[in-house]
Amino acid sequence: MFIPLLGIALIIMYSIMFVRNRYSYFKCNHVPTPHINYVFGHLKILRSVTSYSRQLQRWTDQFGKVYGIFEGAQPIWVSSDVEFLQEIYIKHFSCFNTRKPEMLTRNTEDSVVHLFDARGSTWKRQRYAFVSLFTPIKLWHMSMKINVDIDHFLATLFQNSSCTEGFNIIPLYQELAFNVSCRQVFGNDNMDMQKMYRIYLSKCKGVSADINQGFLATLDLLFPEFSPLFSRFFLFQNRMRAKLNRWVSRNETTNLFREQPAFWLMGSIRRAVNDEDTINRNPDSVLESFRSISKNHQVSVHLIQHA
Amino acid sequence: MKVMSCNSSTAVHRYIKIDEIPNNLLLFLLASTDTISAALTYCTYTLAKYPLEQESVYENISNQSFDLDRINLMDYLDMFVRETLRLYPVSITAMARQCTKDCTVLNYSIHKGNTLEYMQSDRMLQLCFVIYLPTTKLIIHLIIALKCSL
Repeated sequence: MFIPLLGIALIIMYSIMFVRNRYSYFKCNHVPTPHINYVFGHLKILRSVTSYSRQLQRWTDQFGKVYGIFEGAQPIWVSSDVEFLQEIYIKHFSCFNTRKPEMLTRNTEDSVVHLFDARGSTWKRQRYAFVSLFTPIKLWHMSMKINVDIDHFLATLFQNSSCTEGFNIIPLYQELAFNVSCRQVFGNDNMDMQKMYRIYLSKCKGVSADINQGFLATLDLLFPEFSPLFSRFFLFQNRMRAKLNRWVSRNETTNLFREQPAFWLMGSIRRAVNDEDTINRNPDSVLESFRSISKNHQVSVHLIQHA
Repeated sequence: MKVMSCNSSTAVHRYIKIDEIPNNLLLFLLASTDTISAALTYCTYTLAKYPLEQESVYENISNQSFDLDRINLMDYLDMFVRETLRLYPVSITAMARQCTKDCTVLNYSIHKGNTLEYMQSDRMLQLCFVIYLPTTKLIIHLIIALKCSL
């Protein structure tokens, strides 16, 4: 009877010590920090405010230009000091070349990633490959296509500007930016694709909020030690939903179970990439440029060095 | 400048794996929509808020034709866009960095795994606001100028 009780007491004491130690990071470094909640850090406040940036601004007014917060267990330095930022982004950039990790990007060593999440040698390889996508000739071709979208945008703007009450310009800009990038990426603008672009746009709007505000993302922030478990479960449940949706209905747009917009988009893009139909391919599109550099596997580039 | 012949130790490989193509296409779609539309929105907002700036930018671009080469000569427009982006950076989360090696910055020791959030010193506005256009003339000119720079 005595030994299990002692065991439980030891576990509780260890947990308390562990949590206290975790949240004492900024205190030990003599960096000011707002009042800490020992379960959530500052996550609860950051999630409850309407504007993340304004909350950071309020803390800046209170604690000065450099202070620390905890997003769950993750210690975050917040700075608006120009000298500090100069040191980070220029002088010590080699120590800060990675972006802020999120649930799905925390463990990307073995997985397939895009340029934004890539690290080290993968980042370097992809970054070099991207150079050939934006040669002057390709940019010139792109600008021709951009003009079509801008003309359409201007026509809509003229229509709206006649109303005296004012209007919200953000959706118009979003549509413009999205149409431009879709046209560049797929190089295909028949009616079916335009209908598809509109669905893509609506999916794109919900992407980041959906993944990073969910229950699993919160657990991931609170217990980063179990991060691979959470991300795998997240991917698994989404894969199951996608499978069920395909099983119930062949129609891509009406889904019974809600898939994460990012994964839905990914699936849709993957189908477009694997499409063997060569008739509708546009050689100027980003997709075709990617295909061409992926075929020329491992082509070495001559290094240009300053003499 | 001299072009070095490549050898196995210094050569940089440029290729994308087939599996990476969909990921990178998704990146194009996601990264371009919000950044470009937010930047354009803040440019429009700044123009509406500061009429004198509006005049100066208008003078800078009104007598010029728009093509890829000319756009680089529009120095005031360039300054205007840069200043707008300084005041209203378009993606705060993309600017945040993670420390990959312990280092000391201005007497603060930052440890591996810490994340750094950057914020600009001026008051930040939320993205959701409605713009009341005082005049659409200049904005249209600006958009035509941006046509080439996009």
